[in-house]
Amino acid sequence: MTTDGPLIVQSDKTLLLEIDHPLSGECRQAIAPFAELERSPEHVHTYRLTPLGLWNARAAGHDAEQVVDALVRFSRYAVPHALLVDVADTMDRFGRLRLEQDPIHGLVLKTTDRAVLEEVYRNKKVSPMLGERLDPETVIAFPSERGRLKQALLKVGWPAEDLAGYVDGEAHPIELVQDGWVLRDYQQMAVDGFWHGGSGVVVLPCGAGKTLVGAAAMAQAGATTLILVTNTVSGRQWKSELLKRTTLTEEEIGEYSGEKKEIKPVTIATYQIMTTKKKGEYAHLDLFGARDWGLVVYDEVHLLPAPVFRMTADLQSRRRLGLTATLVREDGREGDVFSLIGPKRYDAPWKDIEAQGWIAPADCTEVRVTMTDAERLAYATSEPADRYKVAATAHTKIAVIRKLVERHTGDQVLVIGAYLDQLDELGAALDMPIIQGSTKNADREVLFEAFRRREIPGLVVSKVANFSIDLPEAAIAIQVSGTFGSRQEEAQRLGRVLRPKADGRSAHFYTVISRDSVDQEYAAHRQRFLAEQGYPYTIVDADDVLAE
Amino acid sequence: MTSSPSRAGGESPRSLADSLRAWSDERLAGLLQTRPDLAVPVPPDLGVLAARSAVRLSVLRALDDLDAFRLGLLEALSLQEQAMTPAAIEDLVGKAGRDGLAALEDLALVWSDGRMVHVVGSVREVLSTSAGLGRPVAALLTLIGPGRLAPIEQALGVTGTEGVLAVLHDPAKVRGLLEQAGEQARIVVDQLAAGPPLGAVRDARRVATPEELSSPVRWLLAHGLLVAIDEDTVELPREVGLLARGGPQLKVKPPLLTARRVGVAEVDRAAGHEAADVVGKVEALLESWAAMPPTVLRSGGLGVRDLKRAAKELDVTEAAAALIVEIAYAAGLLDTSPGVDPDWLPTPAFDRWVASPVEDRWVLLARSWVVMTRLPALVGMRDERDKALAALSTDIERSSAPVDRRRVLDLLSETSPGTTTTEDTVLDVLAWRAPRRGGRLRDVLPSWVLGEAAALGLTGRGGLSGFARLLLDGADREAGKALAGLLPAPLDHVLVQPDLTVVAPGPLERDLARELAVVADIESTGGATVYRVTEATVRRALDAGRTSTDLHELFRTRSRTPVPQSLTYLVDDVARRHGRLRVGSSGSYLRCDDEALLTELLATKRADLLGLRRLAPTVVTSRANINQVLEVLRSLGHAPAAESPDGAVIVARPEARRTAVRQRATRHGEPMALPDEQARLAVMALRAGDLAARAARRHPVTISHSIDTLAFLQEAAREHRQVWLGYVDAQGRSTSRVVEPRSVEGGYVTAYDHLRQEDRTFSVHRVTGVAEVAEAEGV
Repeated sequence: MTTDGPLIVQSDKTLLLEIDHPLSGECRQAIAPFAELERSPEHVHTYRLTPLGLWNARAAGHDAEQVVDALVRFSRYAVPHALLVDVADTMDRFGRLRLEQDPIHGLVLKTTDRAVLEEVYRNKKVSPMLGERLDPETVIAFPSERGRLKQALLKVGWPAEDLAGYVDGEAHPIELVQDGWVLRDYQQMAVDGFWHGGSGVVVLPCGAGKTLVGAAAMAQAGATTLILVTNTVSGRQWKSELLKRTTLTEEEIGEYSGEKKEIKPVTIATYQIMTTKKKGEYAHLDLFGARDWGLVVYDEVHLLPAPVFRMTADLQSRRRLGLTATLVREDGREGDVFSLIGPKRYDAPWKDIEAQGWIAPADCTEVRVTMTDAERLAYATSEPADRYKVAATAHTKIAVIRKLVERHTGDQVLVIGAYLDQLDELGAALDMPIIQGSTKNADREVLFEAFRRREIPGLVVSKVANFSIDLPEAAIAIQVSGTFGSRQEEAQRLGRVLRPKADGRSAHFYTVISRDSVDQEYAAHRQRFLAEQGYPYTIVDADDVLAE
Repeated sequence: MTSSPSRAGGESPRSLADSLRAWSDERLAGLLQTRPDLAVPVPPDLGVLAARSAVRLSVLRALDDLDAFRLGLLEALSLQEQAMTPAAIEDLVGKAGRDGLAALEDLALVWSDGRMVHVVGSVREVLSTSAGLGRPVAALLTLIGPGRLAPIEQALGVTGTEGVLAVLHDPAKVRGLLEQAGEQARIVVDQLAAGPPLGAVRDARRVATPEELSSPVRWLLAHGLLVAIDEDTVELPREVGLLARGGPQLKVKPPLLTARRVGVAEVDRAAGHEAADVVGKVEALLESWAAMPPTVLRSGGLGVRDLKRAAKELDVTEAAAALIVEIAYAAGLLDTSPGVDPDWLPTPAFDRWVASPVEDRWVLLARSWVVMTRLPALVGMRDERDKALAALSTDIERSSAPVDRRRVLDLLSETSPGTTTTEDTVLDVLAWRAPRRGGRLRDVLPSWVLGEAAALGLTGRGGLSGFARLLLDGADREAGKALAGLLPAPLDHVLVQPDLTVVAPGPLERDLARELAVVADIESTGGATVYRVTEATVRRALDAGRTSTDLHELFRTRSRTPVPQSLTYLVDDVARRHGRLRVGSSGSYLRCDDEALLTELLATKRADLLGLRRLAPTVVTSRANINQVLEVLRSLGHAPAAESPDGAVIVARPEARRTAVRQRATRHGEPMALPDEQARLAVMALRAGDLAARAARRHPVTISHSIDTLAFLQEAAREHRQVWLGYVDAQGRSTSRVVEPRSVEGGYVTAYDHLRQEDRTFSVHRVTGVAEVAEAEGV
């Protein structure tokens, strides 16, 4: 006996959602709060139940009954009882411990379950962060350890709910200026979700307007804000976006980077400057205490470096907003994001936002180049460490790249690579300017501006394009080499072309690879990631492209 | 027949044996059935039965079957010094006491002399757990002199020790006194009642002045509710302590079994899912073992590493894997291969099992589990010598397992369909039903059974499924049918996705599942199966003889979604490279610089049997080994020289091996029971034996004249009367028994012997005496 639901629950705690099913939309809504979307290829999406996901759901106010109900209601086959029990047990662990503000004793760890408090109180890792036992259900927690305590509690499987509240910080009125644009529904929902929860992470695909979510959160907070971004260019873009979209003026926004050290009501700092050490000590830690910040925004949380995590542990009384396209961290520190920045507060899959027209649809194509015999020999005899480079930078690629650029004459093209010699070669062959790590920020901005104004047809960029540079009208991206098989890089690069185009055309994302080499293998790895995100690849042969 | 008791007119029974004689046959049969150990062997008479029923071991067994209420009641009775009247018992434990008492009497654990209820001596001994209670008041009162008794008499308004005892033995009066004593005194009493019953009081023996009576302890002492046993110690009498404890805390009713109603459909659906799952797991494991069998440990059983491997393959815990392995063994699907180094291998029964429908396969597994005399949950635990207990070994053999398992399952059967219970409830109810039962594993065994029942799909979401109910009723075929209706129909299609996963959104048809298993790896299982196609799996399929066309065709015809281009490319890419290098094996090779000679040899008819194949102009391989080739070549007139032998051998995938089921000692795990008919016969025998024994006791047999004897016997045969018969058998042993003569002729008496339960023939000349049964009984 089966019901005709769209969901199939697997014994390894993955959930398969059949997209073509009439109830799939409803089902997705029901399971999204607690299940992590793992893969979303065309027909069957895979979600996974993880303790973090379930705790995220708990933090967002969902209870185990809702979760069980959603699973049972939409499941096509019977749901293994053990799994339901496990879900209930796991969710039950969240909130047994709460961090609260006691009017007399300050920060305290309270429990509804004495045994749990007893357990963590005796735990060697946890106990140093706890103080005097006030009564069987309450123990003093040291405010300075608030973040580390939460990390430690998560590790022992008893994540604490942080209800200790936040300091308001120094008030500073910020308003959105919605002239000719309005905050999109999902952006508003993201801000609401964040504000309601206090602190946490908003997951939105590249191009879906994460900066605006940040700006709206700042307006909601109406307080001084510290924004941490990946690099200077990204910081400048935040600044220009904030100037455009809010009442903030040039005087109110400061840049804190290798070049300038301004501290203003809204200060934008880079991760790099925060992690710079002088004489073995972090030189710029004072920034966190420089003002009474009311809000800390972390851009691209999935890239947040470990030292910044440690600093963030000390910022637990400030509201924290994390922005990211993916919670997947290649270093597996999702748990730290959960305990130090906060639970996930909003999440929407790419395809849905694309379907709403907020990001451009993309055609992904893999172009396979056959290396010449000389290249194959060079490849075959190269050191294992160099093999990828040899294959990825095969000269044969140049011709087909040129052809692809010709195919899209009139469109803005980004050619993305990882190896500088290859980029130089391409720049010369395509007659395009090159932006690489050593290009000065001022020069970069000139080039970006020219690109935006369509004064130049395209750019050849190095890994710098992996980070948040905003090139609104890049319709075509051609990647020629990458950092091995990094999935994160692939997502970032695809994100470059996903910004909605003025004319609603679809974007094109080409990957040029050398056949029968590690280049193809790495591409397959990345390709799998894109396919899992719902972007199927078409494979074409370079000869077919050249024959056009 | 004299089946009904002939209770000596109005005379009260003086012993348990006496009271048993007054029982009806049905009641006696009932006793033998509820305490089957009493009936083996059938006791010769009721006296022996009474004695046997009071044997400590038998009493312990009987106590094991008592529920918490009856046990509590019996304990309470055992704590009372004196025999009690039913009314007093009711007063002590409430109305339910009457039913409980009747049940205990039926079990011959207590007996009534018509007025008082007596606890069988050994029961009292076994249950004398008076820990924490003081001595009886009668014993305590002997410790105090008359000088100090007088004030108590006065306070109670009675005279003499008897008077005091009468008050303190009367629960109602003691209760009244305690109320009078007031709250403070009550606290003192409660504290002493909780044990130990001794308290320190200065000058305890001093008779209190009236002013001092405001002190609760003094008041209690004055009223005999506390007794001073020396200068500064007081003791709370047992009677008072028992009352203060609120009488025995008896749980009259068992805890409620049903926790939650989830609906029949929901329970069945969940259970059906698990049932299909376990069948799949057993199949998967045995298929894998057929190819790579684990070796049998020298001590028997399965190695820890092999169990770990099984758990990993099945993606389950080791405990779950142990269950799967044990069930497969219990079902006869797995056994050791013969030989010096035996392996664990599937049996031929496995092939039949695999070919049968899922529901039948499940029934076999579930049935085997219900009756198996092994406890899979013990696997991995440590024995006394700290040695881990191995799966499939004799270490986990427990002959009591089926009985214990059945107790839990029967409990589940009592829940109404579609409702669930929790483990705690089951434990509570089991504990109530038989608080003394279960031994060391008492608290864990039920949860093991529940866990295993859930893993096997007998239960779903904590409730017993409909098909499992049928199975437990012994209706295996119906159970299979019911299960079949719950299983999803096998699918003939899959969904192929651009990320190179293939999703089977349900169970697949066998052939399709097999094909997919060749060309893709299983990534996750459950309601659906997710396969992943990789370069390696495609290569594997090509190695297994599939062509790229086969694979394209498979995906084209079986995928309900368009086959993604990436998959087509992958298959073609691998196929293009597949087989560019060729590897083969041969028995030997020939090489010769003269190409013409090799050509000639290949053309020679008689060389055919060598299986020659030319690989290159100067190289030929042969299937035959070097010696054969040399021999044939020489016979053809050539003069070959042998090169140093090359040891290449033909590697073929070994056949999936099978072994026969070994003969196993059959064990009957089902509980020992006494069928009605047997019980009835046993009672008849008892009665007869009892009559004979008592007759023998009262009327020593004397030899009578044979004429009289004959006439007496003939008359008895006519009137179908039972008579007592004294007899000397062929070995010269003298016996006496009660028989019912049927006929007397030719010097022989044919009579029904109640003791032997059969007609027997006695020679008249060996009969030493006869007597009327009624007379013998002395009525």
